[in-house]
Amino acid sequence: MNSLILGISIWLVIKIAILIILGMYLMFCLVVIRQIKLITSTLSLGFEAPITMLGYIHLAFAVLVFLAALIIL
Amino acid sequence: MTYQGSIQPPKIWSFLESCYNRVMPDVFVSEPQEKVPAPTSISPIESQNSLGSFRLYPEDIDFETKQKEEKVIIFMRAHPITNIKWILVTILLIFVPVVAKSFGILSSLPAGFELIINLAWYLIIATYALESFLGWYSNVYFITNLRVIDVDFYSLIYKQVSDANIDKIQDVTYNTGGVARALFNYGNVFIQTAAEVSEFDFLAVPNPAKVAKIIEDLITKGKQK
Repeated sequence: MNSLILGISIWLVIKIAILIILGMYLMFCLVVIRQIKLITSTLSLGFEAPITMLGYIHLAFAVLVFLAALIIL
Repeated sequence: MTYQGSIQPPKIWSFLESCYNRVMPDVFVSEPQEKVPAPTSISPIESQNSLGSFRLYPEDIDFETKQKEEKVIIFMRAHPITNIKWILVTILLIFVPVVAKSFGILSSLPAGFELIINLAWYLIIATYALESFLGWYSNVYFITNLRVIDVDFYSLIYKQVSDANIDKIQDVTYNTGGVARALFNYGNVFIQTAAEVSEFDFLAVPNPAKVAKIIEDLITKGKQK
């Protein structure tokens, strides 16, 4: 599996691409957190703490996947 | 005044009490409160659960533009059964990596790539489920004693709050077409107004007939005043 293009391993290119995509996904998760804050500041419906927690769990999962990709690939 | 228990007050006391009532007029007598009939039966949809779709006179609900004298009569969001689509899609998507593995689709990748692709897949599913849930949770409708309010959150960080005074409402219609809607008693309520926002669409809300009736009652009561 040492496919080389101009002396660069194709898997290294794919690894960098995956890391860039996951990094962008982390930004997206932060936007989701911002969205949840916007919802909870607009509406007080009695379920604010659980959805805020869901947002942070989602962010933690994204961080975990990014770190896993960084270490394993 | 009523007395309970085995010890009875002396008769002189009741005599004095009747004299007092005759001599002293009442300083303040409150006007009889208009009572709104409570729902005869409360289904799980109508419960005071914070994830409920239809709540009558919710006490613990607040929103950004709520005024001090404003009382929420009905709080609504889409019927929970409307979530079934994204829940089923999520469950199906969870099994995609298992199916892919059984067909050996990712087996040609180097070690580690398969794990990361699977994790990324589950991350995408989690986002899809979270966004779908937030879309259902945050698009809500209020009917208060003063206004009808529609709160919508579009895409990620765009929100729209529309409201119209009760006296600006011109027409209320509702529909409940389809098997699922008839079975679970939900449908759309359309409110035509003379306000800046000319139409309010309360989509897939439980008890549309009851909602329309309550709005019509509020309009009638407003006209009588």
